Amino acid sequence: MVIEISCEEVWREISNYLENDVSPELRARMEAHFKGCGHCTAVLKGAGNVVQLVKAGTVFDLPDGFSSRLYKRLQDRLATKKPKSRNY
Amino acid sequence: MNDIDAINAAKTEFREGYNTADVDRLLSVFADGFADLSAGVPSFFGDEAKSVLRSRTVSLFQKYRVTLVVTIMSIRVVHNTAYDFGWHTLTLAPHHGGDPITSRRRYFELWRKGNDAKWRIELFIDNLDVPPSMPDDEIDSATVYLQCSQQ
Repeated sequence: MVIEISCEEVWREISNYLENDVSPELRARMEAHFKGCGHCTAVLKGAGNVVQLVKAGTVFDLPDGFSSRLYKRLQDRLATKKPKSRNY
Repeated sequence: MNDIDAINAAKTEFREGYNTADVDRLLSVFADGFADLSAGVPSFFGDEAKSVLRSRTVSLFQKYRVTLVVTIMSIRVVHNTAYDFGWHTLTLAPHHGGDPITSRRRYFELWRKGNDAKWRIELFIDNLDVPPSMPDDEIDSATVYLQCSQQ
């Protein structure tokens, strides 16, 4: 019988899970949790992608002017996304 | 076993009580005189709550094979009191055929550690879940609603 585990406990152990550094009992509990929890499955996939990218060590060349265009778009985005006042 | 592990184990008993149609196993997780504020049905408190829960679950298990998936979001312990919240996904398959019914509810439970060191639920409340949304979408739709309601 697999004992329950909470999302918070899963998040604490997710890097150990990816590194195969958890006990078989904890792995079974986490896998049962992933089956029913879309949030934690998304966190697992995201963390897995980051680990893969870091391990790959691939360096991507960015096109000329990419940094300045990205910076400008972020500035524009922040300017249009000012906090909205709420009248409750 | 620490308190978090003990509550995880108690939630497992709760889940298995439903999944094996074992009313006593399910009721063992609840304190005598707990408060039952389940959605869609009248609330009960004190001695009546357990009797009503027994009656409701006996009736449920007679009609359906129940599969409960528990997703605990968080467990917080403060001395001899604890609370947890998350989701219960309940699938009811009629014994006499027909399509199964699945409902997902978000719940909150208040736990108390008894003199026997066992954790039991003192208060249970839940409501029907709705599909998730991103914060920006929710804030934008709330703003639109506010603007429309003021015109």
